Amino acid sequence: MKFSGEIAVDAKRDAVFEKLQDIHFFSSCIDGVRDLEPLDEKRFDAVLETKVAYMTFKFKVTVELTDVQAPELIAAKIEGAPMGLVGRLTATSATRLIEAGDQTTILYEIDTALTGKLGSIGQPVLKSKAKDMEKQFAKNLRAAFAPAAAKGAA
Amino acid sequence: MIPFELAEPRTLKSALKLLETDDPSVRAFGGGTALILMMKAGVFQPTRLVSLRGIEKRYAKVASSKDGSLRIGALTTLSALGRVAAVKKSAPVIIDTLRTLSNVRVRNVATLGGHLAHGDPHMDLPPVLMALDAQVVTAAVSGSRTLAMGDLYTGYYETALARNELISEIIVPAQAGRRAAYMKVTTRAADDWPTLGIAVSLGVEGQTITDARIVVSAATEKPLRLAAAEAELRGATVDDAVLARVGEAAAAEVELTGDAHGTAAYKTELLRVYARRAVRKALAA
Repeated sequence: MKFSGEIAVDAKRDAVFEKLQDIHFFSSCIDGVRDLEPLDEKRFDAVLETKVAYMTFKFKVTVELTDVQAPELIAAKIEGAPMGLVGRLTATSATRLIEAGDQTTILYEIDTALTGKLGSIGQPVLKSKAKDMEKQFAKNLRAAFAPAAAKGAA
Repeated sequence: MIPFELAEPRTLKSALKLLETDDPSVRAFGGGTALILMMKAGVFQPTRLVSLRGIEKRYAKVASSKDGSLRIGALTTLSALGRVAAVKKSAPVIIDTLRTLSNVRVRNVATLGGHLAHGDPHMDLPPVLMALDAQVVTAAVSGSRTLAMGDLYTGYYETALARNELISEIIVPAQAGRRAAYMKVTTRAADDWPTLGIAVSLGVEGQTITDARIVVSAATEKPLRLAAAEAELRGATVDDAVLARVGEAAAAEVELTGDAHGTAAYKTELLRVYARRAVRKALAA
């Protein structure tokens, strides 16, 4: 299952690239990511928790940065397993940064595959949550680059 | 498993009171067949479960009117529902659907209310009841309300029911000569979860279709009416060309979700084919 989209951020490309490479900052923009644990410079473990109706889905994932080309590309591979369910999650993501004057357009593509019991329950979960997570991610990212005065006013 | 409290109230009123809490992990159940699976899968850990099995027996009865409309108590088990002569007479599509719904062990304990309230888009009866233009009556401490089946589902496992609200009754209006059918496609075993479900209800005068309701499920986040496919049928006399347009319209108007049962592209092809077949099956009903 593929997801793609774009997010416009009010900041120069170099600054956005630098921020996105910081895994602590990056994960702080995604709702439900916790227990972040760097394994080395390019890999880290994390737990992603998301709620659908009365159910809670937890995924323990390892993220590996597979291709980083400053200041325009960050590609990653995500592998993991759901906690409590039999199955496996694999995903690849490519994030491209396009310069647009003083702004940056972030184009992203995520390709996920879920196997096992998770395939039946998890795929629609990811699909139904993807839009919400994207909105929240974009909001958090824009807030991080908002001028200090605006942050104070908020 | 983390321990939880099991409450077994004897009245609907006391059951509703037990649900008056801010704790999101308090949930009611009828047969428990769906909820227990979620607990075993580890995606739901309740602090309190409220069993509805002991409440007043009137919520497990089916009443029919002279015009053929049905009022089905939410605690009616699926097996019991399948044995009601009035249901067979007024809405035989329900009986037909029940034959392949899960297996007899599940049908003997699963209740209609639980089946609908669970919000799983793979369930068989929500699209059927939507096609029949059914309504659900809900109960809460604050009062009751009536919802169209189409308004019950808001997303994947998400319903319009509040945490403290239960389905108490399902109303199936008189079908007045309408013809209906349900088809489900399973890709692994006959009694597996459906890869695609499609329910059709047609108003017919002579050879002309006066009104159509087509509902797709299982491959979508929630059961969905297919308005464009319905429009192709309205006022039409069914032939191969009309059915081809119905299939094309159905496949074009909805985005399906791929999962372990099949890719989105495969399911779209299934929809194109089964939309036609389901209309033919309804006309032959």
